[in-house]
Amino acid sequence: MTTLPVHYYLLGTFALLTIGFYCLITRRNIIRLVIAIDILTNAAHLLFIVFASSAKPGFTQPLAHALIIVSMAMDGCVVAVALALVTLAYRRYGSRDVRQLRKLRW
Amino acid sequence: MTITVAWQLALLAATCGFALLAVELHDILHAVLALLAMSVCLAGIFWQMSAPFLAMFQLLIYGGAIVALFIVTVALTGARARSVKAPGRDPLWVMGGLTCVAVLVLVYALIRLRPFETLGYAQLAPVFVEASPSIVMQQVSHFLWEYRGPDLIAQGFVALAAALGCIALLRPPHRRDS
Repeated sequence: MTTLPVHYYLLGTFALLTIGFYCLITRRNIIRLVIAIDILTNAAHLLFIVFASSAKPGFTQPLAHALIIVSMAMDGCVVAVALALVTLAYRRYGSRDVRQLRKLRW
Repeated sequence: MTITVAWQLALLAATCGFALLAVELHDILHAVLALLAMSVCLAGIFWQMSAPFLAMFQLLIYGGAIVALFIVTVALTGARARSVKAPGRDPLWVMGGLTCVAVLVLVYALIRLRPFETLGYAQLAPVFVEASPSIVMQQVSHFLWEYRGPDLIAQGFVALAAALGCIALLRPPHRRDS
């Protein structure tokens, strides 16, 4: 079975990581920041599965399956709590701009 | 280039493109839909890499639950009606973009110039790697559901804690103040 070379996947994964970090650095909308965390987690999952399946094309090690499934469930919980915090912050401050959350600062 | 390689390349490019759209689209609902498309493309990549369980979980968790949570949050906060003002001439936008491009170029140069140490470990073939695909999938499912019990129990506790946290955070204001 012929598959795409690993280097292409690595480049795509690091492109996803870069997009996620770019969004975290430049955006001020809290929902957009949660989207960035989601993209970063997806990039980490892709990187993990690329390494786990690079021994022989067409086969993936089961430990990688298990760890990524656990990580996906954890990320679902993280996103749920983060979006609940977004809703709470919007109720309290009336804004989704992180610069407006000044009461959280020192 | 075979059809499989072409599919994988197209799915990888589509994943990166939809991720960029999720970041750049002005309307937050469109951004969430781009995130959904990115999750579907990533599930396709997992499927192509012989990881059907991951493709299924990717569609269920990211393509279903998380996107639904995002849409509910967008509806609750009125994010479509009053979007946060774009940074415009903010120097942070330029600095962030330049930093990310520099990091991407650096990573690409490192990948091309130096052998990746981790690839050496990843190239070690496990015992079952020579088995037929059906036997491998049986072993994967057996490994997942028979040997990862503590992980699944811990996962259930985390899901319960997250649900309790969401309930505590989203209580009505009068109950929280009293």
